[in-house]
Amino acid sequence: MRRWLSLEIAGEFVLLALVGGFFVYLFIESLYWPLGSALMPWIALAIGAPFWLWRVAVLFFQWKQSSGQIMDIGFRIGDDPEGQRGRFIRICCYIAGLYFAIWLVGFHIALPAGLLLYVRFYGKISWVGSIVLALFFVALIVGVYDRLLNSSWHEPPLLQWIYSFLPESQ
Amino acid sequence: MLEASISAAERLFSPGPLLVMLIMLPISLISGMMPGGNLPIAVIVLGFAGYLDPWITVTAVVFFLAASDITEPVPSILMGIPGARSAQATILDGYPMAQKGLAGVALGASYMCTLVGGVIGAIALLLALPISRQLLKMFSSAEFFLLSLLGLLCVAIVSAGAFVKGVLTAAFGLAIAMIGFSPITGLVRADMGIEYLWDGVPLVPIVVGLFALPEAIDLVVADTPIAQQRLDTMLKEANRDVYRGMREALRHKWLLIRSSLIGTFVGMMPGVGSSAAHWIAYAQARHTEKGALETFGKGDVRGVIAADSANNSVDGGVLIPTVVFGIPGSGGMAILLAILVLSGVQPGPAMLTRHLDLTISLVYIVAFANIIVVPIMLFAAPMITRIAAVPPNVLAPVVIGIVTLAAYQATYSMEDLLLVLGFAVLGIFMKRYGWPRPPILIAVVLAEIVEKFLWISVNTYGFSMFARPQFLAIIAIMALVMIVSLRLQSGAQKALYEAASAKP
Repeated sequence: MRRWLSLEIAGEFVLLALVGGFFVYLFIESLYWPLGSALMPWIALAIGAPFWLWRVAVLFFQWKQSSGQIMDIGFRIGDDPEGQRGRFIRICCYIAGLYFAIWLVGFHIALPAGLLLYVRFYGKISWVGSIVLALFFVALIVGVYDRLLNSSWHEPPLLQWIYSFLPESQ
Repeated sequence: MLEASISAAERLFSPGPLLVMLIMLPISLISGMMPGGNLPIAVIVLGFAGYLDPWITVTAVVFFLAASDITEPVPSILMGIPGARSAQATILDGYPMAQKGLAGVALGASYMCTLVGGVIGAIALLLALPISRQLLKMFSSAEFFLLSLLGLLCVAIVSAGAFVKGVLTAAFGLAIAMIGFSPITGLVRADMGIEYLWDGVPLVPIVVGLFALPEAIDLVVADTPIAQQRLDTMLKEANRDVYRGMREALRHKWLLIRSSLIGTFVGMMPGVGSSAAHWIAYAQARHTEKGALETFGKGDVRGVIAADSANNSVDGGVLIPTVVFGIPGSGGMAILLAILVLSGVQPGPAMLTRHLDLTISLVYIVAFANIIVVPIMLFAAPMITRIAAVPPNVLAPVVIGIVTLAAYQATYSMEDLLLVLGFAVLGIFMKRYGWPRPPILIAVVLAEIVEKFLWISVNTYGFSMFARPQFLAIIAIMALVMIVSLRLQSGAQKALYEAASAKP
């Protein structure tokens, strides 16, 4: 039982479940499509399905796997697994938190503020350096995306809520 | 062809593309030296592809990729840290040379190899164009369908180093590309009831999620600090005896030319790319050069020459399958392909007819990048190295911020960011479990072209398309290419293992 719960096997089963689930969904959907729309998905499934089954069998029966990649290598594993795990969790939390903050308060506030706090506390650069970097992001968003590309931004719920209390909006 | 060459020169050396090259120059020099610094910059350019002229975006990304390759060996030689995977073999002899106080000689040899290798690669690309033009005239939609599909599978199989994972990810990429409006019937497919997916899965969030974020995470997780004292010592020696190193490279001219040709040839093989070329060239030099078995790995300048000349000539070679057949040989080339598609330029036969001047401009860009960057590096390498030694905990959040902005430009909705997060989780899992990610991107880029060619072929020829001699010839050629590519890849891996086991 422990063997199946190991990160090596369980993790790849998650990947296979995702890919297999999408293959099944695509196949069921494609049964209702005209030939012109269904032909290419069927070719993709015909190529992928046998190899999916093969990979599941390799993992299930623990057959010897070929190894080695050139075009795409895995994570660089060093001699400090504890530290690496901590840094991994930290940066993932930062990304998730940053995206939540972007939704909540928008790009113009969340990106510079997130960057400022991260480089100050984890990048260990001075407050002045951190503020300069944050200002660079403000300049990038306003200068390139607002002025040059005329990007349209989503309306952050927190700012909308605050605006609702302002006299002009009532 | 001559007319297109002149037109390419006129358009390329006009204010717009020249300004772009000027902007990309410092970015290329610095990011080439940073671990994992290459791809996020290409992703940022991809974010602008929908707005700008293809001449601007293509110039930006090709110049960037070619110029950053030139600076990659610098941290390998000075600090023993590869700026990118394509400079790994340079460490084996470059770093021991630097430890012996010969950093300048190693760097000088590297610059000369860069210059010669880059120009040889560009000439190879130029020579391949007329041959490819004649070849493509014999093909119809049936052959283009087969070429695209087999090319994709070939890249997947070779790149993965594991047959099953490679084909599986390519098929998964094709399946993802089926989401949204069908280009044949206009029917919305596999949208899972989400209106956002009606136009298909946008490319930029896929690239950001699958590549840029996992690489940024890797940067922080690996956290390779650079000892300041060691850096200072090495930088002092970086500008000493550089010209002696350049003369050394010219003294071994046959090795230089041979390794450059190997790099170009390996670059042309779909899926093998730059990360294998330098290992193959290094391995051949180790086995053919006199006394190399004893001296390679201990600070022999010939090791630097072999690795770096192949590393730069590969740029010209890898562009051939990318632009002519729409089969990219690396992650960077897949992004170039995506830029072409987003800019309204369809890779493949049109690149040799309607957009021939744009294709020829790639030759100029690769050659030009090599010619202007080398003199700059002769004088500014220590300063640029110091700038590039940015701690990962500063670099990563900056990269994350910039690529997030680029991803949001896809459709200006928060769903773009959700998609980024979804693909980032997928990318982390794939990177962790050794599933190759480039085939997904290549499949998404190529899917629409493949589907259109398939439908035209089915309607035009029916099942008789399988009997066309050109169709059968492509199957035979692609099988041969796949065998050669797999052999080259196993050769590169053998060299890598040999080098690893020979390390003290």
